Amino acid sequence: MKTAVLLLGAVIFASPLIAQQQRLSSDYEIQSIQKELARDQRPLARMAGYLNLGDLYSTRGESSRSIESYRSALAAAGKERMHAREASDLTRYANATSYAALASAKLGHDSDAFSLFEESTRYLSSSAKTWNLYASGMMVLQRNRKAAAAARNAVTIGERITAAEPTIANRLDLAVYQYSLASALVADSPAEAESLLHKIVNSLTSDAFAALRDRIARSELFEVYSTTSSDESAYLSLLNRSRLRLGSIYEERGDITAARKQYEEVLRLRNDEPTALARMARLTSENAEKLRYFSEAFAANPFSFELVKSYESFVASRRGVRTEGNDTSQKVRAVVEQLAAGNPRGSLSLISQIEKSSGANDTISYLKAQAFSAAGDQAAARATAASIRQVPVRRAAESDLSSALSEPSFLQKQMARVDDPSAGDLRKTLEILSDPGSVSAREALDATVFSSAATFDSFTPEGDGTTAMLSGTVAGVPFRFSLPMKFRGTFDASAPLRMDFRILGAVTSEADASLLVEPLKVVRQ
Amino acid sequence: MKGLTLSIAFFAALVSGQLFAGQTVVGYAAEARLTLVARGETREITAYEGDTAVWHVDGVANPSAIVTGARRAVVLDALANRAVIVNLQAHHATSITTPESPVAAAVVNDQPFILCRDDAALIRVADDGSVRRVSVDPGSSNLLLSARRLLVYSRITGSILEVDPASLTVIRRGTVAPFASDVEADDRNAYLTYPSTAEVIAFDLATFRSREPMKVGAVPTDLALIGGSTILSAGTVAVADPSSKKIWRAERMQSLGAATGRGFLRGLIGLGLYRPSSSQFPTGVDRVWAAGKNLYAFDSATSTLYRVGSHEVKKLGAFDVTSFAFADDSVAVWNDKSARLLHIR
Repeated sequence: MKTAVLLLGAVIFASPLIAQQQRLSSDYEIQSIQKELARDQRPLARMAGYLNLGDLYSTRGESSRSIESYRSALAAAGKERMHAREASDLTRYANATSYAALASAKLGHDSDAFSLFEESTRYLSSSAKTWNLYASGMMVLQRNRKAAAAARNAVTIGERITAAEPTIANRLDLAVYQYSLASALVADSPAEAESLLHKIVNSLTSDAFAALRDRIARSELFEVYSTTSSDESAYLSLLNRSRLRLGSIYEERGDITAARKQYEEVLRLRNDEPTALARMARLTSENAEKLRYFSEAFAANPFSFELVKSYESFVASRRGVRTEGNDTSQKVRAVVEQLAAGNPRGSLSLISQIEKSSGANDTISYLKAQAFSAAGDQAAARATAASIRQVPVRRAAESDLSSALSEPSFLQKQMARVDDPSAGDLRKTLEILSDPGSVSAREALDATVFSSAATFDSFTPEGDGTTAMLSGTVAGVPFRFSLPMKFRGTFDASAPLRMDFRILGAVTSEADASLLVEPLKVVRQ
Repeated sequence: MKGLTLSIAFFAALVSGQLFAGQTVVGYAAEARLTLVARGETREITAYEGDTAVWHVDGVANPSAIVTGARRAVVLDALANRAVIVNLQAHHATSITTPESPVAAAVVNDQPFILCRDDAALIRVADDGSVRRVSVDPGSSNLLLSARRLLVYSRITGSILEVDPASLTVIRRGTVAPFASDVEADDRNAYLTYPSTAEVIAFDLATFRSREPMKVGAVPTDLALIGGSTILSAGTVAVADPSSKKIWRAERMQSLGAATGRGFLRGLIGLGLYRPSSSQFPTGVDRVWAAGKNLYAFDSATSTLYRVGSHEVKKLGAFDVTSFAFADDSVAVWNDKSARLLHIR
C-alpha cells in the first residue's frame, strides 16, 4: 500500500472488468469518502480525505462545500503540525505542513501556500513526494513555472530511487512525478509535455506493469480519490489522466483522430468517464452519436462546466434539440436548450427545481445568470454571476453578461471577418438592428463576413442537384434570407453545416425577430 | 550580519490560531544603522532609525526576505518574482522582475546578486536595473558570501558552485551531499546541516571537497556560525535540533596545525581544551542566528524567541511574526496589531 500522497487531481476510475456494467456517480464517491472520514481517525487519511472531498465537490461546481472541505483539511493539517512538533517528529511535521500548504493553495491563499511549501521542503527536500505536492499546489495557483521546477525535483529524485530499486511502486511513483511535470509544462513547453505523457503511457502499458494490471482485473477496483491510496488506483488514475491530457494536446493541434483515440482508450477502461465523454461528444460529427455521448456525459456529471459549455455550442447549432425527463442530468440539458430557444423563464423554472433537489452550485449559477440576463433582469444576473466561487466559471459568466449588454466589437469597429460570433453578440446585434434608426450599425456591418455553424429549419431538394434553404439559427439566434436560396449540393439535417454570410438587417414581427442575412457559402463542417 | 533575515523568511507561526502572522519582513543594515520593514499590506519598505520611521520607498506584495549590504538592500518577493533594490544613501528604490522564485540574495561591493531557484539562475543587478545572469544547477536554493566570493548550493544535486562576482562566471564546482536544510560559510569552510541523516558536513573551500560528516543530535535543521577564528579558538558552529530541543555547539573545522597551536596556547594560559557547551530548551527550537556576540534561537511551533548565553538560556517572549532583525544589542520585530517596530533587548 502506498502512502496517500500521489496527488492526481479529482479522478474517477474503475477496472476494465466492471467498466461495462457498473456506473460510478459522484454521489457514491462522496459518500465513500465521508464514510472513510467517519471511520479513519489517522491524521494523514483525514487530511487526504478532506482534500479529495473538496476536489469532488469542485468538479460538481459545489464551491461552498468544496471550500468547507479544504478548510477542514487545513484545520486537520494545522492540528497535526502542532502534534508532530510536540512529539518531536519532524518528518510527520513536514508531511502535515505539505498538506496544509496544498489546502491553502486550494483555498487560494497563495502566499501562505508558498511559505508552507518552503517550510516542508526545508525538512524533507530529499522526498520526491514532498516536491510533488509542492508542484500540485503551485499548479492549483497557476504558478506553472514554480510547479515545473518542483516537479523536476520530484522526477530527479524519483529517477534516482527507481534506478536503485526498480519496483512497481517506485516506477509508478516516478510516472506520477512525470505526470505532474507534464501538466506544469503543457502551456509553455507542449512538446516536452507530450513526450513525457507518451513516456508515462508507454511505461504503464508495458510488461513491467502486467502483474499490477492482473491484480486490478481481479480486485474489481472501485475507488476514487485524487490522493490515491493504492498502487492499483494510482495506476488507473494516472493512465486515464495522461491520456486525457494527450487528447487535449492533440485537439489543440487539430489532430482530431489522435485525440479521439486517446478518449476512446479512456472510455475502454471506464465507460462513464465524464471528461472523455464530453470531449467525444464535442469531437463527434454524427448527430445521434453526439447526443448519445452528451447524454452519458451529463449522466456521469451533470454539473461539469466544460460539458455545459460544449453542450451550449452544440445546441446553438442544432435547432429543436429537446430533452425531457425528471432526473438532474436531463433537467440541466433542458436548461441549456431552453436558453438557446430564447425561453429564459422556462430555464429559470428548471433551475429552481435543480437547486431544490441538488443544492446550488457554480455551473447552475452560471446558467442562472444567463437566464436572468436574457429575461431582462440584469441586476439579478450580475449578482448571480458575482456569487460564483470558481474563478474560470465566474469569468465566463461575467464575460457573457458583458457581451450581452455591450455593443459587439464588430459594431464598434469595422472588421473584415468574424469567425464564430458569440450568441450574446448576435442577440445584441439583432436587438440593435430591430431598431429602424440603427444606421451606423448597418454601415459597420456592411463589409463584414461572418462564419458560423448554422442550423437550417428545412431543406428542399430542387432536383437540379441543388437544395433550397430559407431560415435557421446561428449560435442559437434566428436568421432568414430575403427569399429561399439554392445551394449546390444535397444538404440535410444529418450533418452540421457552416455558413459564411453578411448581416443585412433584422426581420421583425410581433412574435419574433430574425437576422436578415445574405449567404455567401454553405459547406459541411 | 550574514543575511540574518534571509534564513528566517519562511516559517510558520502556529500560535493565535493563525498560520502566518502576515507578510512583513524586517532586516537590519548594520553600517547604515537602519532597520528596514517591508510590508506586503502597504507594499512599502520603511527605514527606521531606532523606533522612528525616517523614510520609505515602494515595496512588494509578498515580501519574503531582506538582505542588506553597506549601501544597498534587497527586498525579495519569491512568490511574485519581484525584487526591490534599495539605495540606503539616496533613499531610492529600483523595482525589477526577476527570473522565477528569487529566494536568496547577497550584496557584494554594492552590487546585488539574486538567486532565482526555479529558473536555475543567479543574476546581478546594475544600478539602472539592468540584469546579467549566469546559469546555476537546478534546485539551487542557497547563496552564500564567503571572503567576497559567491557560493551557490543546490539542495537537489548537492553541487556547490563558486561564482566570481566580477565576471559572473562559475569558476569552481564541487559536490557535497544533497538535501541540506541550511548552509552557512566562514572564510574557510561551508557548513551544511542534514535533518534526515542527523549530520553536519563541513565543505573545505580551499580544496573544494567535503570533509567527513559529523553526527549532531537527532534532527539538526538550522545552523549559525558564532565568532570569528582567533588565536584561541576556531569559532563555533551552533546547530538547532528541534527534536532534541537543543542547540548543539561544536568547534569549527581547523587544520591539524592550527588546532595543535591553539591547544598549546590554551594550555599555556590555563584555559584547557576548548569545549563549547550545548543548550537545552523547554521547546523544540528550529532556527538559530548569531548576531555579534549573541546567539538567538526560535521555536516556530510556539513562536518563542530565546537569547542563548554560554551557560543560560533566556526566553525573550512569544512573537507572532515571521521575521526578526538582529542588531548587536537588540532584536527588532514588527508588531502588526500596533503597526509598530519593537526592539527587544
